Amino acid sequence: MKCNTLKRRRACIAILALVLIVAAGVCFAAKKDGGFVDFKLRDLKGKTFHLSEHASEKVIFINFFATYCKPCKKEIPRLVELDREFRDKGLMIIGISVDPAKDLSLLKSFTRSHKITYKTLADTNSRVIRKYNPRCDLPYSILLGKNGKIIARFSGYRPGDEKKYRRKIMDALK
Amino acid sequence: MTDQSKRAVFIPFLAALVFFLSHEAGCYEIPVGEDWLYFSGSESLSFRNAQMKRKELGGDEFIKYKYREIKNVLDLNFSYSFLTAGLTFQTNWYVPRMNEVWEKGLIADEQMMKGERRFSLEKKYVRASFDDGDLLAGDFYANFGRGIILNVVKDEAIDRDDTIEGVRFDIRTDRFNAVVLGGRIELPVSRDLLYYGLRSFERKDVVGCMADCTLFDGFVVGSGFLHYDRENARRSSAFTAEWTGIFDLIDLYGEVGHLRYGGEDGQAIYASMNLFLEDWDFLAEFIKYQDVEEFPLNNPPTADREDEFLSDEEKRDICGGRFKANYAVPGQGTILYVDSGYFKTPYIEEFYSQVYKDTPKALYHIYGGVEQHGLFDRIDATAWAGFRDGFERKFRTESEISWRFTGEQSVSAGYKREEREKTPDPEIHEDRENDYSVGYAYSPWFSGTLTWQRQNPTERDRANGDRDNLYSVDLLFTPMSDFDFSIMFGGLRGGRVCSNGICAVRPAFRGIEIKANYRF
Repeated sequence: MKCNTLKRRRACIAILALVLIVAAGVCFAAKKDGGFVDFKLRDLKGKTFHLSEHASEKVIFINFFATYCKPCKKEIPRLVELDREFRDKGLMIIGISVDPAKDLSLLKSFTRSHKITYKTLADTNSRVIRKYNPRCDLPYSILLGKNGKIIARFSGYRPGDEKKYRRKIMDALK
Repeated sequence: MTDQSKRAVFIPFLAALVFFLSHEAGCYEIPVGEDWLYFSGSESLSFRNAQMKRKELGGDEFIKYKYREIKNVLDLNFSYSFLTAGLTFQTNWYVPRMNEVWEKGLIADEQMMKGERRFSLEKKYVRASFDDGDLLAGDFYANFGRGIILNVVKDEAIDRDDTIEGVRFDIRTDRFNAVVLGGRIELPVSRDLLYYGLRSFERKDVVGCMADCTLFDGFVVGSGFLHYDRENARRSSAFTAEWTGIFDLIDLYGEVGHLRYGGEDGQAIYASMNLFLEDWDFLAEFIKYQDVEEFPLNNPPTADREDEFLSDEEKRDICGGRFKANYAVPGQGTILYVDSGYFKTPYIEEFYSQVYKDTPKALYHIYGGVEQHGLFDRIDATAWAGFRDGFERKFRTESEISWRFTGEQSVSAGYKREEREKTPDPEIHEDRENDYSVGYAYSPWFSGTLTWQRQNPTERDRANGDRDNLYSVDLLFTPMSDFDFSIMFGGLRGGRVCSNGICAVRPAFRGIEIKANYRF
């Protein structure tokens, strides 16, 4: 919907202001917590992965990435190390690729050459990333506690950020 | 509208930003009835004061102009029981009026031409989710198979964010997936959006359905049908087959598409094979497209490393393939790779005969490179070089190294070089470019990059104000995990950006851009 006339523009602004005021009001009364958003996606072997089947058992670290994203390539080896360190202690790392559908064969090659040991899913039409991160920044990661709710979010990657991930993961596993 | 009321447009956004910044980051949970309403979103406010240079439409002259823009994007997401909803509001405020530029012969964004300010609800959707599927009304992205007939996606690199506005119904089970969709999509009239600034849209109807079925573990077959643009009776259909995990070594994929527009027919075949050995993996891709129309509803695989040569024609007519091999050195964090492609297309001869003395019979590329991760637990490095004989004959090389000298601090350096063959038309090609960059990062608070771009403009470009050296500084601050603030200033070269099979030419930039992003 595009607000072309003056009246419609004013109406849009008024509606937006109202939405924000109501949102701000309820936020004061709201409990701050992470929302649980379930999803189903296929992995690179065509098998369906359903988040809610795992969310109550493990701490889950979801990493959105793409093969063309340079910081993602630097981050992935660090995530492989975290997977090796915490897999048996109750952590599940899931990589969700937002590469376009045409690059799925390239994605398979990428996961193999980068020795990705954790599960990789394909979100080719941005259905899942839109739920967590509408702006679709990459890389983008979220940490879900054992109750399935978001306890931390991480945008971008700089060398050394894995320390922050490790700290949050250890807190969540306690 | 008065200046006061224009400024009022941003007050709700600023209020939201201040309000959320004053709170600890996190999603909100509100009791509603017996269930909880989850509320989250993001707020992005940017200011750009820049000098731009664009080519005059239908002419050879460049138009230089200054503009200031304030842009605000607010995303709101709601989730309650089986319902989720999303809203994206966007506001642009252009100063001065873009129609001053329009009067000089530049076609700008339609909304810019009409006035200084644009306020729109860019995206909205409501989704009802069930155990084995969901029903969505509003704006959505969609794709089928590898995109021969349908691939409507977001791609910021080329300023593309197409969605279908309508309804879709999905069924997802372990063995069967299906989607039925219908709605409208805006088709850009020109694809040179950034070069000419032309952005005029036509709205077209789309209806379609797709389904795939797992016949046995690892083997999936599918089929899809799409009907759009009633006036021109465009229809397309595709069939897919995928077999993964053959002897735990091989993955195969094939897709065949048929596209009909008016009385014409287009055919497309795409096939790929992945072969996985111990430390080696190989990828072979094959394409054969005949009169395949592309963009914006579909986006077929290009099998090309840079996706640069398929976007300049209305119809694709090409046959060729790509071979890529990777070797991961055991226990070293080192990946060696080679990537090559060879394609034949009839219109390359027509194009080359205008600009080159010797007309090639085919397009090809060959690249090789190395990635090193975690050397001595501190160093990451990449380097690659390659040659391509495409619409531009060029040699390219790129390398980057980053060294983490403490747990949190790192420095990086990068170098890029591109040499292109000079053509008779000096406006089409420059012959070489060198980019140098150095950076410093302090995790998780700060990162900064200084970039120096050296170029070799023609005399005509120099007369138009192009410089031999361009410098830019890009700083990013992250004071809170969900808030970041960035400043970029200086000059950046304009040029061709190719992504996902579509290329756009970004205008040169000189000025400052400030952005603040917050997720809540």
